[in-house]
Amino acid sequence: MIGGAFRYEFLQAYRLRSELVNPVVFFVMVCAMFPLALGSNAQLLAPLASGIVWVAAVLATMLSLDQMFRQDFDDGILEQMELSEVPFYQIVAFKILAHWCLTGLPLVILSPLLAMMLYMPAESYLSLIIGLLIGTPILSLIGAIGAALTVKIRRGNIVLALLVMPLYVPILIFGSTAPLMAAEGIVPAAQLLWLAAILVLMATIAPLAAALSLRVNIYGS
Amino acid sequence: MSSSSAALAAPCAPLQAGEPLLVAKGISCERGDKLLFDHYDLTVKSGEIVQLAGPNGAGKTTLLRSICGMFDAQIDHLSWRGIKLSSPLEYADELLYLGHKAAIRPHLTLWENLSWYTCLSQCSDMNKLAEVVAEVGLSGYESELASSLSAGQKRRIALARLKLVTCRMWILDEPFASLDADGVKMLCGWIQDFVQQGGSVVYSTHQPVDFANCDSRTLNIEQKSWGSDSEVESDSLSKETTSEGSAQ
Repeated sequence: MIGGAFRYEFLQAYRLRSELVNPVVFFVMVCAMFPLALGSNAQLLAPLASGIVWVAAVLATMLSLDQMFRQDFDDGILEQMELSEVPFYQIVAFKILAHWCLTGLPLVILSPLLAMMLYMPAESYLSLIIGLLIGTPILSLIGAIGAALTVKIRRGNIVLALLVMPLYVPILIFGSTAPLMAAEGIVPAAQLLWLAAILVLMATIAPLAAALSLRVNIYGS
Repeated sequence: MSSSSAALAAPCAPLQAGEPLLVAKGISCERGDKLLFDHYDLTVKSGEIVQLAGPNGAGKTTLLRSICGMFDAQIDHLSWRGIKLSSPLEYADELLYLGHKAAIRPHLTLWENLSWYTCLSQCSDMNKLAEVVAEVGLSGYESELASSLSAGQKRRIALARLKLVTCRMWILDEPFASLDADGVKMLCGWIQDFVQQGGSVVYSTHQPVDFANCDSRTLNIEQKSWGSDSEVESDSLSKETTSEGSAQ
Protein backbone atom coordinates (compact mmCIF):
# COMPACT_ATOMS: atom_id res chain seq x y z
CA MET A 1 0.00 0.00 0.00
CA ILE A 2 2.57 2.51 1.15
CA GLY A 3 5.09 1.05 -1.27
CA GLY A 4 2.64 1.80 -4.04
CA ALA A 5 2.31 5.40 -2.89
CA PHE A 6 6.10 5.64 -2.89
CA ARG A 7 6.22 4.54 -6.52
CA TYR A 8 4.22 7.58 -7.56
CA GLU A 9 6.66 9.91 -5.83
CA PHE A 10 9.34 8.54 -8.15
CA LEU A 11 7.10 8.67 -11.16
CA GLN A 12 6.29 12.31 -10.52
CA ALA A 13 9.96 13.14 -10.04
CA TYR A 14 10.80 11.29 -13.25
CA ARG A 15 8.27 13.35 -15.20
CA LEU A 16 9.93 16.47 -13.80
CA ARG A 17 13.40 15.23 -14.65
CA SER A 18 14.52 18.55 -16.11
CA GLU A 19 14.21 20.05 -12.64
CA LEU A 20 15.87 17.00 -11.22
CA VAL A 21 18.99 17.44 -13.30
CA ASN A 22 19.49 21.03 -12.11
CA PRO A 23 21.23 20.27 -8.79
CA VAL A 24 23.45 17.67 -10.42
CA VAL A 25 24.51 20.07 -13.18
CA PHE A 26 25.10 22.72 -10.53
CA PHE A 27 27.28 20.29 -8.57
CA VAL A 28 29.42 19.45 -11.60
CA MET A 29 29.72 23.09 -12.65
CA VAL A 30 30.85 24.37 -9.26
CA CYS A 31 33.48 21.64 -9.00
CA ALA A 32 34.67 22.33 -12.53
CA MET A 33 35.10 26.05 -11.86
CA PHE A 34 37.77 25.61 -9.20
CA PRO A 35 40.46 24.20 -11.50
CA LEU A 36 39.56 26.95 -13.97
CA ALA A 37 39.95 29.67 -11.37
CA LEU A 38 42.88 28.28 -9.40
CA GLY A 39 44.78 26.69 -12.25
CA SER A 40 45.18 23.02 -12.95
CA ASN A 41 47.83 22.56 -10.29
CA ALA A 42 47.80 19.17 -8.56
CA GLN A 43 49.68 20.40 -5.50
CA LEU A 44 47.27 23.26 -4.94
CA LEU A 45 44.05 21.38 -5.69
CA ALA A 46 44.67 18.02 -4.00
CA PRO A 47 44.29 19.28 -0.41
CA LEU A 48 41.22 21.32 -1.41
CA ALA A 49 39.46 18.57 -3.33
CA SER A 50 37.32 17.07 -0.57
CA GLY A 51 36.30 20.51 0.69
CA ILE A 52 35.27 21.63 -2.78
CA VAL A 53 33.24 18.49 -3.47
CA TRP A 54 31.50 18.73 -0.10
CA VAL A 55 30.66 22.44 -0.38
CA ALA A 56 29.31 21.86 -3.88
CA ALA A 57 27.23 18.91 -2.63
CA VAL A 58 25.76 20.97 0.22
CA LEU A 59 24.90 23.86 -2.09
CA ALA A 60 23.41 21.56 -4.72
CA THR A 61 21.21 19.87 -2.11
CA MET A 62 20.07 23.24 -0.82
CA LEU A 63 19.09 24.25 -4.33
CA SER A 64 16.70 21.32 -4.54
CA LEU A 65 15.15 21.59 -1.08
CA ASP A 66 12.61 24.27 -1.90
CA GLN A 67 10.75 21.96 -4.24
CA MET A 68 10.54 19.04 -1.83
CA PHE A 69 7.01 19.75 -0.57
CA ARG A 70 5.91 22.93 -2.35
CA GLN A 71 4.09 21.50 -5.36
CA ASP A 72 2.28 18.90 -3.27
CA PHE A 73 1.30 21.51 -0.72
CA ASP A 74 -0.08 23.88 -3.34
CA ASP A 75 -2.05 21.12 -5.08
CA GLY A 76 -3.63 19.87 -1.85
CA ILE A 77 -1.87 16.50 -2.12
CA LEU A 78 -0.46 16.83 1.38
CA GLU A 79 -3.94 17.51 2.78
CA GLN A 80 -5.18 14.23 1.36
CA MET A 81 -2.08 12.42 2.58
CA GLU A 82 -2.61 13.75 6.08
CA LEU A 83 -6.23 12.58 6.11
CA SER A 84 -5.34 9.16 4.78
CA GLU A 85 -4.90 6.03 6.84
CA VAL A 86 -1.17 5.90 6.30
CA PRO A 87 0.59 7.74 9.16
CA PHE A 88 1.65 11.13 7.87
CA TYR A 89 5.24 10.92 9.09
CA GLN A 90 5.72 7.72 7.10
CA ILE A 91 4.65 9.45 3.93
CA VAL A 92 6.98 12.34 4.74
CA ALA A 93 9.80 9.86 5.36
CA PHE A 94 9.18 8.31 1.95
CA LYS A 95 9.16 11.71 0.32
CA ILE A 96 12.53 12.46 1.92
CA LEU A 97 13.87 9.10 0.76
CA ALA A 98 12.66 9.82 -2.78
CA HIS A 99 14.31 13.24 -2.62
CA TRP A 100 17.61 11.70 -1.60
CA CYS A 101 17.49 8.96 -4.24
CA LEU A 102 16.89 11.56 -6.93
CA THR A 103 19.26 14.33 -5.82
CA GLY A 104 21.68 12.97 -3.20
CA LEU A 105 22.49 9.67 -4.80
CA PRO A 106 23.52 11.13 -8.20
CA LEU A 107 25.92 13.42 -6.33
CA VAL A 108 27.51 10.43 -4.60
CA ILE A 109 27.83 8.59 -7.90
CA LEU A 110 29.41 11.56 -9.66
CA SER A 111 31.77 12.51 -6.83
CA PRO A 112 34.71 10.18 -7.73
CA LEU A 113 34.79 11.68 -11.21
CA LEU A 114 34.96 15.20 -9.84
CA ALA A 115 37.49 14.18 -7.20
CA MET A 116 39.69 12.87 -9.98
CA MET A 117 39.41 16.19 -11.77
CA LEU A 118 40.56 17.90 -8.58
CA TYR A 119 43.57 15.56 -8.18
CA MET A 120 42.33 13.94 -5.01
CA PRO A 121 44.86 11.38 -3.70
CA ALA A 122 43.81 7.78 -4.29
CA GLU A 123 43.66 6.91 -0.57
CA SER A 124 40.92 9.50 -0.02
CA TYR A 125 38.35 8.21 -2.51
CA LEU A 126 36.78 5.60 -0.31
CA SER A 127 36.28 7.94 2.64
CA LEU A 128 34.86 10.64 0.35
CA ILE A 129 32.32 8.24 -1.12
CA ILE A 130 31.37 6.69 2.22
CA GLY A 131 31.17 10.16 3.77
CA LEU A 132 28.86 11.41 1.03
CA LEU A 133 26.81 8.23 1.16
CA ILE A 134 26.15 8.81 4.87
CA GLY A 135 26.16 12.60 4.67
CA THR A 136 23.82 13.39 1.78
CA PRO A 137 20.81 11.63 3.39
CA ILE A 138 21.43 13.82 6.46
CA LEU A 139 21.35 16.87 4.20
CA SER A 140 17.98 15.74 2.79
CA LEU A 141 16.60 14.97 6.26
CA ILE A 142 17.60 18.27 7.85
CA GLY A 143 16.57 20.10 4.71
CA ALA A 144 13.12 18.49 4.87
CA ILE A 145 12.45 20.18 8.22
CA GLY A 146 13.43 23.55 6.73
CA ALA A 147 11.42 22.92 3.57
CA ALA A 148 8.37 21.92 5.63
CA LEU A 149 8.59 25.04 7.77
CA THR A 150 8.88 27.38 4.80
CA VAL A 151 6.43 25.61 2.49
CA LYS A 152 3.97 28.49 2.66
CA ILE A 153 6.48 31.25 2.07
CA ARG A 154 6.76 32.36 -1.54
CA ARG A 155 10.38 32.82 -2.51
CA GLY A 156 11.33 31.13 0.73
CA ASN A 157 14.73 30.10 -0.62
CA ILE A 158 16.76 32.57 1.41
CA VAL A 159 14.90 31.87 4.65
CA LEU A 160 15.33 28.18 4.00
CA ALA A 161 19.08 28.60 3.44
CA LEU A 162 19.40 30.65 6.64
CA LEU A 163 17.52 28.00 8.59
CA VAL A 164 19.34 25.01 7.24
CA MET A 165 22.89 26.25 6.65
CA PRO A 166 23.99 26.35 10.32
CA LEU A 167 22.72 22.80 10.77
CA TYR A 168 24.75 21.65 7.77
CA VAL A 169 28.01 22.92 9.26
CA PRO A 170 28.86 19.85 11.41
CA ILE A 171 28.18 17.51 8.50
CA LEU A 172 30.36 19.64 6.26
CA ILE A 173 33.19 19.57 8.82
CA PHE A 174 33.07 15.83 9.47
CA GLY A 175 32.55 14.99 5.81
CA SER A 176 35.31 17.11 4.35
CA THR A 177 37.96 16.25 6.95
CA ALA A 178 37.56 12.48 6.55
CA PRO A 179 39.30 12.33 3.12
CA LEU A 180 42.09 14.59 4.44
CA MET A 181 42.73 12.19 7.30
CA ALA A 182 42.70 9.26 4.90
CA ALA A 183 45.26 11.03 2.70
CA GLU A 184 47.62 11.14 5.68
CA GLY A 185 47.16 7.41 6.21
CA ILE A 186 44.85 7.65 9.24
CA VAL A 187 41.57 5.73 9.15
CA PRO A 188 38.86 8.44 9.49
CA ALA A 189 36.66 6.22 11.66
CA ALA A 190 35.77 9.01 14.11
CA GLN A 191 34.41 11.33 11.40
CA LEU A 192 32.45 8.65 9.62
CA LEU A 193 31.03 7.23 12.85
CA TRP A 194 29.94 10.70 13.90
CA LEU A 195 28.23 11.13 10.55
CA ALA A 196 26.53 7.76 10.96
CA ALA A 197 25.36 8.73 14.46
CA ILE A 198 23.91 11.99 13.14
CA LEU A 199 22.19 10.06 10.34
CA VAL A 200 20.52 7.71 12.82
CA LEU A 201 19.42 10.65 14.96
CA MET A 202 18.05 12.64 12.03
CA ALA A 203 16.37 9.63 10.42
CA THR A 204 14.47 9.23 13.69
CA ILE A 205 13.60 12.85 14.33
CA ALA A 206 13.41 14.60 10.97
CA PRO A 207 10.35 12.85 9.44
CA LEU A 208 8.37 13.53 12.62
CA ALA A 209 9.51 17.14 12.79
CA ALA A 210 8.84 17.74 9.10
CA ALA A 211 5.40 16.10 9.36
CA LEU A 212 4.53 18.32 12.33
CA SER A 213 5.67 21.48 10.54
CA LEU A 214 3.68 20.54 7.46
CA ARG A 215 0.63 19.90 9.61
CA VAL A 216 0.94 23.36 11.15
CA ASN A 217 1.07 24.84 7.65
CA ILE A 218 -1.94 22.79 6.50
CA TYR A 219 -3.95 23.94 9.52
CA GLY A 220 -3.31 27.55 8.72
CA SER A 221 -4.15 27.39 5.05
CA MET B 1 -3.87 10.13 18.19
CA SER B 2 -3.58 6.46 17.42
CA SER B 3 -4.47 5.04 20.83
CA SER B 4 -8.19 5.74 20.81
CA SER B 5 -8.67 5.24 17.08
CA ALA B 6 -8.24 1.54 17.81
CA ALA B 7 -11.46 1.76 19.79
CA LEU B 8 -13.36 2.78 16.68
CA ALA B 9 -15.21 0.22 14.65
CA ALA B 10 -13.60 -1.05 11.49
CA PRO B 11 -13.80 1.75 8.90
CA CYS B 12 -15.81 -0.27 6.43
CA ALA B 13 -18.33 -1.79 8.84
CA PRO B 14 -21.95 -1.43 7.70
CA LEU B 15 -23.77 1.71 8.71
CA GLN B 16 -26.86 2.03 10.85
CA ALA B 17 -29.37 4.62 9.73
CA GLY B 18 -30.30 7.50 11.99
CA GLU B 19 -27.41 7.01 14.37
CA PRO B 20 -25.74 10.30 15.32
CA LEU B 21 -22.46 10.09 13.49
CA LEU B 22 -20.68 13.27 14.39
CA VAL B 23 -21.46 15.48 17.35
CA ALA B 24 -19.30 18.56 17.67
CA LYS B 25 -20.26 21.00 20.38
CA GLY B 26 -18.70 24.35 21.07
CA ILE B 27 -16.69 24.83 17.90
CA SER B 28 -14.76 28.08 18.15
CA CYS B 29 -12.40 29.24 15.49
CA GLU B 30 -10.52 32.32 14.58
CA ARG B 31 -9.05 33.23 11.24
CA GLY B 32 -6.56 36.04 11.46
CA ASP B 33 -7.96 38.38 14.10
CA LYS B 34 -11.54 37.52 13.24
CA LEU B 35 -13.70 35.26 15.32
CA LEU B 36 -15.62 33.15 12.82
CA PHE B 37 -17.44 30.82 15.20
CA ASP B 38 -18.03 31.10 18.90
CA HIS B 39 -19.30 27.91 20.52
CA TYR B 40 -21.07 26.66 17.46
CA ASP B 41 -22.77 23.25 17.62
CA LEU B 42 -23.03 20.80 14.74
CA THR B 43 -24.61 17.36 14.77
CA VAL B 44 -24.66 15.10 11.75
CA LYS B 45 -26.71 11.92 11.79
CA SER B 46 -26.02 9.04 9.47
CA GLY B 47 -28.18 9.18 6.38
CA GLU B 48 -28.34 12.96 6.49
CA ILE B 49 -27.36 15.67 4.05
CA VAL B 50 -26.25 18.94 5.61
CA GLN B 51 -25.78 21.91 3.35
CA LEU B 52 -23.81 24.90 4.53
CA ALA B 53 -24.94 28.13 2.95
CA GLY B 54 -23.77 31.64 3.49
CA PRO B 55 -21.96 34.56 1.88
CA ASN B 56 -18.30 34.47 0.90
CA GLY B 57 -16.09 34.74 3.93
CA ALA B 58 -18.74 33.54 6.37
CA GLY B 59 -16.62 30.57 7.34
CA LYS B 60 -18.07 27.61 5.44
CA THR B 61 -14.70 26.26 4.40
CA THR B 62 -13.27 26.88 7.86
CA LEU B 63 -16.11 24.95 9.47
CA LEU B 64 -15.68 22.05 7.05
CA ARG B 65 -11.95 21.99 7.63
CA SER B 66 -12.46 22.18 11.39
CA ILE B 67 -14.60 19.10 11.56
CA CYS B 68 -12.14 17.04 9.58
CA GLY B 69 -9.14 18.23 11.55
CA MET B 70 -7.59 20.44 8.92
CA PHE B 71 -8.04 23.65 10.85
CA ASP B 72 -6.87 24.37 14.33
CA ALA B 73 -10.28 25.05 15.85
CA GLN B 74 -11.21 24.56 19.44
CA ILE B 75 -13.96 21.98 19.89
CA ASP B 76 -15.28 21.52 23.44
CA HIS B 77 -17.02 18.21 22.92
CA LEU B 78 -16.44 15.89 20.02
CA SER B 79 -17.84 12.45 19.50
CA TRP B 80 -17.92 10.11 16.54
CA ARG B 81 -20.49 7.30 16.61
CA GLY B 82 -20.95 7.92 20.32
CA ILE B 83 -17.27 7.61 21.20
CA LYS B 84 -15.78 10.73 22.71
CA LEU B 85 -12.64 11.83 20.95
CA SER B 86 -10.14 14.60 21.46
CA SER B 87 -9.24 15.36 17.87
CA PRO B 88 -11.02 15.07 14.51
CA LEU B 89 -7.90 13.38 13.15
CA GLU B 90 -8.92 10.25 15.06
CA TYR B 91 -11.82 9.60 12.73
CA ALA B 92 -10.16 11.04 9.64
CA ASP B 93 -9.92 7.53 8.17
CA GLU B 94 -13.67 7.30 8.02
CA LEU B 95 -14.36 10.50 6.16
CA LEU B 96 -13.52 11.80 2.77
CA TYR B 97 -12.68 15.46 2.37
CA LEU B 98 -12.80 17.16 -0.98
CA GLY B 99 -11.56 20.72 -0.74
CA HIS B 100 -10.96 23.63 -3.06
CA LYS B 101 -7.62 22.13 -3.90
CA ALA B 102 -8.36 19.17 -6.13
CA ALA B 103 -5.33 17.15 -4.92
CA ILE B 104 -4.39 16.14 -8.43
CA ARG B 105 -0.80 15.70 -9.44
CA PRO B 106 -0.42 17.56 -12.72
CA HIS B 107 2.50 15.45 -13.91
CA LEU B 108 0.78 12.12 -13.46
CA THR B 109 -1.86 10.76 -15.79
CA LEU B 110 -5.49 10.44 -14.82
CA TRP B 111 -5.04 6.72 -14.20
CA GLU B 112 -1.91 7.21 -12.11
CA ASN B 113 -3.61 9.92 -10.09
CA LEU B 114 -6.46 7.62 -9.15
CA SER B 115 -4.30 4.59 -8.47
CA TRP B 116 -2.05 6.74 -6.31
CA TYR B 117 -5.11 7.74 -4.36
CA THR B 118 -6.25 4.15 -3.89
CA CYS B 119 -2.81 3.37 -2.44
CA LEU B 120 -3.52 5.78 0.40
CA SER B 121 -6.62 4.04 1.58
CA GLN B 122 -7.16 0.50 2.78
CA CYS B 123 -10.84 0.53 1.94
CA SER B 124 -10.45 1.46 -1.69
CA ASP B 125 -11.05 -0.98 -4.45
CA MET B 126 -8.43 -1.03 -7.17
CA ASN B 127 -10.58 -3.19 -9.48
CA LYS B 128 -13.29 -0.57 -9.59
CA LEU B 129 -10.97 1.95 -11.19
CA ALA B 130 -11.96 1.43 -14.82
CA GLU B 131 -15.63 1.37 -13.91
CA VAL B 132 -15.36 4.64 -11.98
CA VAL B 133 -13.41 6.37 -14.74
CA ALA B 134 -16.21 5.49 -17.15
CA GLU B 135 -18.80 6.65 -14.67
CA VAL B 136 -17.29 10.12 -14.33
CA GLY B 137 -17.23 10.33 -18.12
CA LEU B 138 -13.48 10.34 -18.57
CA SER B 139 -12.88 7.03 -20.33
CA GLY B 140 -10.44 7.59 -23.15
CA TYR B 141 -8.49 10.10 -21.09
CA GLU B 142 -6.80 7.51 -18.84
CA SER B 143 -3.30 8.12 -20.13
CA GLU B 144 -3.60 11.89 -20.49
CA LEU B 145 -1.50 13.97 -18.11
CA ALA B 146 -3.74 15.64 -15.57
CA SER B 147 -2.23 19.02 -16.41
CA SER B 148 -3.64 18.79 -19.92
CA LEU B 149 -7.22 18.30 -18.75
CA SER B 150 -9.76 21.09 -18.28
CA ALA B 151 -10.87 22.44 -14.90
CA GLY B 152 -14.14 20.53 -15.10
CA GLN B 153 -12.37 17.30 -15.99
CA LYS B 154 -9.99 17.77 -13.07
CA ARG B 155 -12.97 18.26 -10.80
CA ARG B 156 -14.37 14.99 -12.14
CA ILE B 157 -11.12 13.18 -11.31
CA ALA B 158 -11.40 14.54 -7.79
CA LEU B 159 -15.01 13.38 -7.60
CA ALA B 160 -14.05 9.89 -8.76
CA ARG B 161 -12.52 9.43 -5.30
CA LEU B 162 -15.98 9.41 -3.80
CA LYS B 163 -16.63 6.17 -5.65
CA LEU B 164 -13.23 4.62 -5.00
CA VAL B 165 -13.09 4.85 -1.24
CA THR B 166 -15.47 3.36 1.28
CA CYS B 167 -16.21 5.69 4.14
CA ARG B 168 -18.97 7.04 6.34
CA MET B 169 -19.00 10.73 5.68
CA TRP B 170 -18.28 12.98 2.73
CA ILE B 171 -17.17 16.50 3.44
CA LEU B 172 -17.40 18.42 0.20
CA ASP B 173 -16.34 22.02 -0.18
CA GLU B 174 -18.10 23.55 -3.19
CA PRO B 175 -18.30 20.23 -5.04
CA PHE B 176 -20.36 21.70 -7.86
CA ALA B 177 -17.76 24.30 -8.83
CA SER B 178 -16.76 24.12 -12.51
CA LEU B 179 -19.03 21.13 -13.17
CA ASP B 180 -21.41 21.10 -16.13
CA ALA B 181 -25.13 20.32 -15.82
CA ASP B 182 -24.53 16.59 -16.36
CA GLY B 183 -21.83 16.58 -13.74
CA VAL B 184 -24.09 18.28 -11.20
CA LYS B 185 -26.79 15.70 -11.89
CA MET B 186 -24.31 12.84 -11.55
CA LEU B 187 -22.98 14.14 -8.24
CA CYS B 188 -26.48 14.70 -6.87
CA GLY B 189 -27.30 11.09 -7.74
CA TRP B 190 -24.17 9.87 -6.01
CA ILE B 191 -24.95 11.87 -2.89
CA GLN B 192 -28.47 10.44 -2.78
CA ASP B 193 -27.22 6.87 -3.23
CA PHE B 194 -24.58 7.35 -0.56
CA VAL B 195 -27.08 8.77 1.91
CA GLN B 196 -29.55 5.99 1.23
CA GLN B 197 -26.85 3.49 2.12
CA GLY B 198 -26.47 5.22 5.47
CA GLY B 199 -23.67 7.65 4.73
CA SER B 200 -23.73 11.33 5.63
CA VAL B 201 -22.79 14.31 3.52
CA VAL B 202 -21.80 17.77 4.69
CA TYR B 203 -21.23 20.16 1.83
CA SER B 204 -21.11 23.82 1.02
CA THR B 205 -22.48 25.40 -2.09
CA HIS B 206 -23.80 28.65 -3.46
CA GLN B 207 -26.23 27.12 -5.90
CA PRO B 208 -29.57 25.68 -4.84
CA VAL B 209 -29.61 21.90 -5.10
CA ASP B 210 -32.68 19.84 -4.46
CA PHE B 211 -32.41 16.37 -3.01
CA ALA B 212 -35.75 14.65 -3.30
CA ASN B 213 -36.55 11.79 -0.93
CA CYS B 214 -33.59 12.57 1.28
CA ASP B 215 -33.21 13.84 4.78
CA SER B 216 -31.56 17.15 4.06
CA ARG B 217 -31.24 20.42 5.88
CA THR B 218 -29.55 23.73 5.32
CA LEU B 219 -27.44 25.61 7.81
CA ASN B 220 -27.22 29.29 7.08
CA ILE B 221 -23.99 30.71 8.28
CA GLU B 222 -24.28 34.45 8.50
CA GLN B 223 -21.45 36.81 8.11
CA LYS B 224 -20.66 38.57 11.33
CA SER B 225 -19.80 42.23 11.46
CA TRP B 226 -16.22 42.16 12.56
CA GLY B 227 -15.04 44.24 15.43
CA SER B 228 -15.06 44.53 19.17
CA ASP B 229 -18.77 43.71 19.51
CA SER B 230 -18.40 40.29 17.90
CA GLU B 231 -19.18 38.47 21.14
CA VAL B 232 -22.53 40.19 21.45
CA GLU B 233 -23.59 38.91 18.08
CA SER B 234 -22.65 35.30 18.60
CA ASP B 235 -26.21 34.29 19.39
CA SER B 236 -27.43 35.27 15.97
CA LEU B 237 -24.59 33.40 14.34
CA SER B 238 -26.60 30.76 12.69
CA LYS B 239 -30.11 29.73 12.14
CA GLU B 240 -31.19 26.32 11.08
CA THR B 241 -33.79 25.60 8.49
CA THR B 242 -34.91 22.03 8.17
CA SER B 243 -36.50 20.77 5.03
CA GLU B 244 -37.52 17.19 5.29
CA GLY B 245 -37.91 15.67 1.84
CA SER B 246 -41.00 13.66 1.07
CA ALA B 247 -39.76 10.40 2.50
CA GLN B 248 -41.14 7.31 0.98
